[in-house]
Amino acid sequence: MKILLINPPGWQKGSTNLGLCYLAGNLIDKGHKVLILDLNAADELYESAAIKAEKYAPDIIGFSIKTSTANMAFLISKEIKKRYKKAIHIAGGPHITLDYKVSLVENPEIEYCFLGESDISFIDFVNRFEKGQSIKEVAGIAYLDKGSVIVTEQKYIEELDNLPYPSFDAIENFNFKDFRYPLITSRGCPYRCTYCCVGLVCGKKWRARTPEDTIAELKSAKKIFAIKTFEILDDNFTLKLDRAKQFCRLMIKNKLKLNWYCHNGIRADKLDLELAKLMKKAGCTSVALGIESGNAEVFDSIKKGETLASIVSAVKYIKMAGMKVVGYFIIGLPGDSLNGIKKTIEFQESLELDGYTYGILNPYPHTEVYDIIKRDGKILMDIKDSSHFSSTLTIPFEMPGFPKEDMKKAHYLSKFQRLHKALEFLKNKHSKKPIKILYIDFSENSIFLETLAKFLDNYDLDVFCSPWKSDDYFKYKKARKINDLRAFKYSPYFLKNLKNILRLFNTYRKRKYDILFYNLRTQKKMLLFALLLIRPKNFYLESEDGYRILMANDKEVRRFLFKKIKELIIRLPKVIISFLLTFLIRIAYVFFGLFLYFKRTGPIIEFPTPNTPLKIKDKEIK
Amino acid sequence: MKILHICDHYRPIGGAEKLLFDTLEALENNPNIENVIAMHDYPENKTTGARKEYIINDLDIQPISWNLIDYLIRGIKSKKSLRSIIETEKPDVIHIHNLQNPFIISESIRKTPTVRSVHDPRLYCFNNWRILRKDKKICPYPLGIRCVTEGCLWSELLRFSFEGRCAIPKYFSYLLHRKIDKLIVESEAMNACVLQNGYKKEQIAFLPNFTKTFNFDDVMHRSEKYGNPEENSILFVGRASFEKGIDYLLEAVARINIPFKLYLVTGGPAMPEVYSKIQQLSLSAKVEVLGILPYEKTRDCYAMADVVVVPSVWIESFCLVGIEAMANAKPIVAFHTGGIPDWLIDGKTGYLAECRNIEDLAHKIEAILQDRIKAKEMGINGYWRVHEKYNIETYLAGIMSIYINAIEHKKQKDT
Ligand code: B12
Ligand code: SF4
Repeated sequence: MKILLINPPGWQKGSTNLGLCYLAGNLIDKGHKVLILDLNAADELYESAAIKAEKYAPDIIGFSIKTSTANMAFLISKEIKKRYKKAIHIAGGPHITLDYKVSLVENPEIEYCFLGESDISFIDFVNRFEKGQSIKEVAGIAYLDKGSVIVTEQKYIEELDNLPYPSFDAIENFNFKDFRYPLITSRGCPYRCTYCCVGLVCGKKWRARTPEDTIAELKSAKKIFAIKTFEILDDNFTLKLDRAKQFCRLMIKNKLKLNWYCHNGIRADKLDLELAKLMKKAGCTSVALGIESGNAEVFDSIKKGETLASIVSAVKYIKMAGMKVVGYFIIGLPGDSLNGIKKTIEFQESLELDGYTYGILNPYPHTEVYDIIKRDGKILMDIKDSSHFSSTLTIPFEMPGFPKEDMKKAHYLSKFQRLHKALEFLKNKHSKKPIKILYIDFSENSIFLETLAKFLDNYDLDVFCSPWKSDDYFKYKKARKINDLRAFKYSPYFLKNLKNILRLFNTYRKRKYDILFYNLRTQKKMLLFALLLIRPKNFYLESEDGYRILMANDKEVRRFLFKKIKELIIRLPKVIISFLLTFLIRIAYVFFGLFLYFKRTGPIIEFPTPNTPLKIKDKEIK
Repeated sequence: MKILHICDHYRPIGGAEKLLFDTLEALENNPNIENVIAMHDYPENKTTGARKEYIINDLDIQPISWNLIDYLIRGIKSKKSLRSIIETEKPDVIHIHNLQNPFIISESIRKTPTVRSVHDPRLYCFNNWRILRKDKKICPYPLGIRCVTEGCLWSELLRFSFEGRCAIPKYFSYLLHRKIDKLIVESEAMNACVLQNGYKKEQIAFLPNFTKTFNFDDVMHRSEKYGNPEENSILFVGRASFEKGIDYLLEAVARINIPFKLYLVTGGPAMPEVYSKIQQLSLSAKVEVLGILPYEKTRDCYAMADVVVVPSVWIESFCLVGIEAMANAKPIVAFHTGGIPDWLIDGKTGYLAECRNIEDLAHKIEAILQDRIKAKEMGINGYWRVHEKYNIETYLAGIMSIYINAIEHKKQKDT
């Protein structure tokens, strides 16, 4: 059979869909033909996906669906159906496992839904489908029969070692460059955290592969793809400490020399110093912890079964072992509030993490928090439409103690902690007069001004932006309360540019700003000028992702400035040689001009007007 | 037949690129054709997987005057990479879309039949747009003496510039193009320009642009759905730059005496000037800037508009926007310049105004807005004209015969 598997696009890029690769590996093993379209990586319009589907002409088209990609997936399915009718459409993945009923009813194109892991059930399905046998006995599927939804019993795979390795070759145009190999060493999670859907999606029973099998997979990946890095995607990699330790020992023994990290998070109560040290020795560079809340009451109420004390010690162990530690936090857990988030931020600061992210809770149907919010609060949107932690902010629900506006504030507070602190400091200092701000922004999309408005009501803002960006600024000048807006007038002449900048920065200097914000997408050369000429009292760099604000005395900033100066010095000889050669080129140029003047000529065109036609006049113009 | 397409930008930024993608797709409808593409490594250029795609470093390089050594090194590198692609792919024809790099041209014409689409005057104008530096008039001269006397050649020399381009490699590219098997021109005006510059008649192939056509009822239905009978909507689609004439348009609409709303689907470096012009002419309430939109969204704008204006003030090589508007059954008012009169029939599919005559432009826009019945009729005329002349079938047949002619031409030359 010919099978097309589709990973629909979402906001987060950079990883492959491992579930589909597992399915492909299994199907290819059994002699089927499989192509995976990773639309999340290709960044294509759904029409072109439909064209591709038509070209490939498969018998079965399968979609892997997360709640955040569900809308897109259904749209693509419809578009394909319009063009190419010969395949049946099926779906699987977390969203389908949770919400197969609604998905089936609302999307008649999708004929069968696969619940949970489908490595075995899908093969069974394909085989029966090929032979024209009844599909109704396939385990773990749901379908519509005369208007009612039929579900068959789900079976979990106990012997994970028996599964073939995932096939990445099946992905169209797969880019092996800098491939971070995704590795699953176990499936399932026995805990009952109230906000999490993993127990429902992957099963409450934890099942693990043997460390030997996973190491063998890594060895083969190293051979085929020359990988240097892998990531462990387990939900509970360290549930059994001994097994995790054994994995690390085998990594060390086999001298695999791979970097790896656990960014899907491990549990803080499932880590001791010995394991941390072994992980480090085995090549692990960074570990994430789901901390969720620093507010003891809230933390206890989410039924994680850990204590804040275990978080503190886990962070300590990870640091002692010499790895980086990252924390994940949730805004909007039941019982939380704006003040609660302030407490969480304090707790997070006390941990001195290497990185952190805050996300607004997405109450997935069939989780406990969903029921709580439905009972006590208000769901504000279909969860499929939520932005799912992307840079556009959506608030999918609100609770009596945590209204929508507060949640927005909490989001900005957590995301822009340093900016907020800096502005608080200035606000206290200048209790009356507005803070004078200059913002230099040549980036493509900065969210700075939006953020600024969240923290300050009274400010005096000037903006200097690139001509490309000015569109937006001019349009929203009033809305964004910009006093003086200037776009860089680009001239091809170096000296003219220099003069313009010097003049402008001199005016800026006289205005004596309290803070200068500088977006790092802006030409780096200009930063030196800005610092030297405008000489702001404070300055902040807004980094590429728009989230981090660096300060003048940060190591990172100093390193950056140092690097720029070094680059300048290194390039100097080349620049000087080029300058000298320019004169030679000018002489050649003069001769070229003379050649054109004396040697080349031709007819001129008389362009048409409404009354006269086009003419090529054979007139010599010398 | 295997065709190697060479282009600089491989993403929808302007008319030329839209035509490139439409052409590729159209060709791929024919199962006997295999497209391979080589593009410059701009960060925004992405492989699509729709066809075999190569990214070449330094395919589209500019001869910056103060750094010619760098240019030479990169040019030779690009030549080498193209050679290896030609060797592995062995294309039957090479189609160069929008590129001046002489190293690439010389490599293409070495062994393989080569076709070149001419989309703008860059091929034979040091100034790129054939607009004179001194008085901004349209340049009627051939490459030569006037490039010197009009200052098109020297300005870069007088001041030190990071962008100043050396014209000598460009001249080489111009000469190399004489050896290309077929030059595709899109309009009578461009044909004249190419001939004027010494390219041979046999070398030139005439092939106007094409655009996707839609079902008539669907187009009419969309116009009804998106149009606003209470409003006189004028639409401009194009780059915000001098040659596209957005300034002239703003001046013209400021003279219109009936209520209207002007929508600008535009963007680019000249936007600050556009905004200040809007303010200066007190048009803020009457003009809405919609930014740069993908074609699907632009189609909605076409459907909404009562008239589409093409105020280009250079030798427009064809202007795809014109036939796009016509495919969406909209009347057009445009300046009489370049390839525009090829597709705009005065009084039948819209009105031609005298080039750069603001009064005339204003008057003709007003005339269309005031006579809705006539306007609709013009739109429908335009729709059918596109159906007849600028459709994919005609274009495909044309381009295929150009490829075949090029192959034959090369064979003859070799024997
Ligand atoms: C790795 C991972 C990622 C990676 C890669 C995602 C990807 N493209 O696969 C990255 C980091 C990019 C990512 C991003 C996101 N993720 Co994520 N991610 C995971 C994680 C940790 C592991 C997934 C995995 O590889 N599992 C192993 C494989 C074998 O299982 P599987 O993918 O589920 O596939 C099996 C079955 O589902 C089924 N199946 C799947 N697809 C199909 C299709 C067909 C046709 C069939 C028949 C069967 C089938 O068969 C597969 C084989 O058994 C899961 C947690 C988890 N335990 O599932 C979260 C998880 C899937 N992610 C989640 C979320 C919310 C996100 C984000 C929205 C935000 C985020 N960062 O958390 C983004 C959205 C993605 C986007 N494109 O924008 C949620 C999904 C919740 C939901 N209801 O949708 C999960 C469950 C985490 C959680 N605890 O909430 N994620
Ligand atoms: S958050 Fe982690 S521990 Fe809790 S249920 Fe989800 S996967 Fe299990």
